[in-house]
Amino acid sequence: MTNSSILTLDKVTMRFGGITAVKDLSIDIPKGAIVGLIGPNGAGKTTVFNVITGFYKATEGHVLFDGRDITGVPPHLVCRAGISRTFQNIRLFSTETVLQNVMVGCHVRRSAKWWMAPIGLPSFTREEKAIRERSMELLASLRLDSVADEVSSSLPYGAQRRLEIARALATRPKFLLLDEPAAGMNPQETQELMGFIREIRDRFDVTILLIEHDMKVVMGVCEYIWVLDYGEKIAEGSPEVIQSDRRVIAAYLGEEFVHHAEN
Amino acid sequence: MNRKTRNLALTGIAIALLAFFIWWAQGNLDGYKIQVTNLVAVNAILALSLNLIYGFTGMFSLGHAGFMALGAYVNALLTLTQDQKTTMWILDPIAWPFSVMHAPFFLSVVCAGLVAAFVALLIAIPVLRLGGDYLGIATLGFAEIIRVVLTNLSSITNGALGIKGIPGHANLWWNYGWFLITLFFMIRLINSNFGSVLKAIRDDEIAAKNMGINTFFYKVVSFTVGAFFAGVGGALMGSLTTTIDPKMFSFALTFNVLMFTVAGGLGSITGSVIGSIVITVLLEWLRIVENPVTIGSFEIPGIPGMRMVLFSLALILIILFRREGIMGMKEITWDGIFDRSKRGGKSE
Repeated sequence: MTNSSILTLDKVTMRFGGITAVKDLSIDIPKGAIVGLIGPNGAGKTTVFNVITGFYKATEGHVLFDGRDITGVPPHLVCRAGISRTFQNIRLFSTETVLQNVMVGCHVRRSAKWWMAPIGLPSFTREEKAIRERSMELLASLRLDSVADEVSSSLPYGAQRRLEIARALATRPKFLLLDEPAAGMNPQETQELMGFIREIRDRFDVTILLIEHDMKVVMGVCEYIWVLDYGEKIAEGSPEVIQSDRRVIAAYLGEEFVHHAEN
Repeated sequence: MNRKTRNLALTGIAIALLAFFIWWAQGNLDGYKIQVTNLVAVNAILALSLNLIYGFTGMFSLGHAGFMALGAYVNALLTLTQDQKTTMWILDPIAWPFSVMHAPFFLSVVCAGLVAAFVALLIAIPVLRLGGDYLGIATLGFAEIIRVVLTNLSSITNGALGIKGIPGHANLWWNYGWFLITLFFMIRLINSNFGSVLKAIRDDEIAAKNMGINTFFYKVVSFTVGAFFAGVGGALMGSLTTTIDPKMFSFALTFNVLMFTVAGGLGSITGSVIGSIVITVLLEWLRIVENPVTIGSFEIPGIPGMRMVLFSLALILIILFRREGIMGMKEITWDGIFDRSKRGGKSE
């Protein structure tokens, strides 16, 4: 890793009572990369996301973001620091419109205070307008502008996933976590998604960490991959290295398939 | 831009019509009808304030009667004259600063709201960490505490005897004036991005936190602002009935407000207003069933309490067939009325 790193997990351990969900995990993510975190179900991937975004406080170890220790910082401040995420099971603000969802994402970067809204100060109105315009731009770049006034829960599944990404981007993140972005998408949507993830990285200048089960996506877009199994890192490296790693094959398919894979 | 001026004009016309109606009502309606019209405005203020807390921010709060009580007492203490206060306090003589306090009506109502909001802020900090039904129980408990404290602080509140002869400043103009202030405040807040933030907390608090929203802060803000308007509503109600005592502010009062809000539609400003109008008028109109009725040679004697039976039946029907209330989460807006193709915009 030659670039300077944006996010570092330093020997992070997360225990829930007697269960160790993540054990001694160290990860170093270079700025501007697209990297992946994979592993069988229950390996602790989402727990890692929750530790990074401040939902869980790591039992041991530290999370460093942009040179700053963010271990135990509450989620809304983690977001303000520049980390945003999407969720495995979509969590949109279901009664609000598509546009409102994205505008809520913009909230974290705004300077007006709530009491300015009823008074209607000019600075407030101006900012409100700017947020609306920026949100429309974001929606346009994700091809959601035509449904801006629809209620978010009425969108088809793929569009809901895109909207979650739009909302996450609205917070102006430096680092974006995508939790299974391709889940439930058809092959064509998946293909689009891959191009789209690269486009986001270049256009919004973000570093992307994704959890994904669809190996075509992982191997297609990730430059570097970490593999978790039972909370422990069992392998890391480029997609080619991971594909031929004995322990990864064993974790996914079982020991008996290792020699099949090697032949 | 064109639509904006049109909406502004329409709002102006609506306010003018309301003013004309009040002017007409004062000269032509009897005292009873005027009282019902007054109640509609006060109830609408209360329904809107609870809707902010419960409907828009999703906090199930049952503390409204407590905040109303605070508002009513503060207003009573600030509008009664010193002589009235010294003669009325029988149990204990009235304590010093309260005996001489006096303020004009508008200021007094603002103070009523501020005191309610301040107490709500103190309650909010420990209680709003709870969610769902637990919050309901905790706020209910706090409302009861407020009531018991008011009963026992007899050197300030005249205890269980209550306060009589509160100057009846709250006429139609004041009540509808405050109603418009509340309505304006709510519309501006809810239609701004901050309104979307409150709704985001209601829809998915976890996602809201991840989008950088300090959910606890905004819950406290919503609760405190809601309590402010509950205090205002309580003050107006006290001034309207001219008599208050702690028993008035029991859970039944909270339940009434909850009913306006839920029947109108949780998360709808127009719903709260319509709910208050419909239920307040219906409750009064149903009094006819309690009068004796003569059909031919039959005479059915009036049964006291019959209207509550019918009313409860109506509520059950609403819950069975239209759970989301009259309006659901929808709003009636000028844009919605005049150009049906477009949605959103300013609501009246």
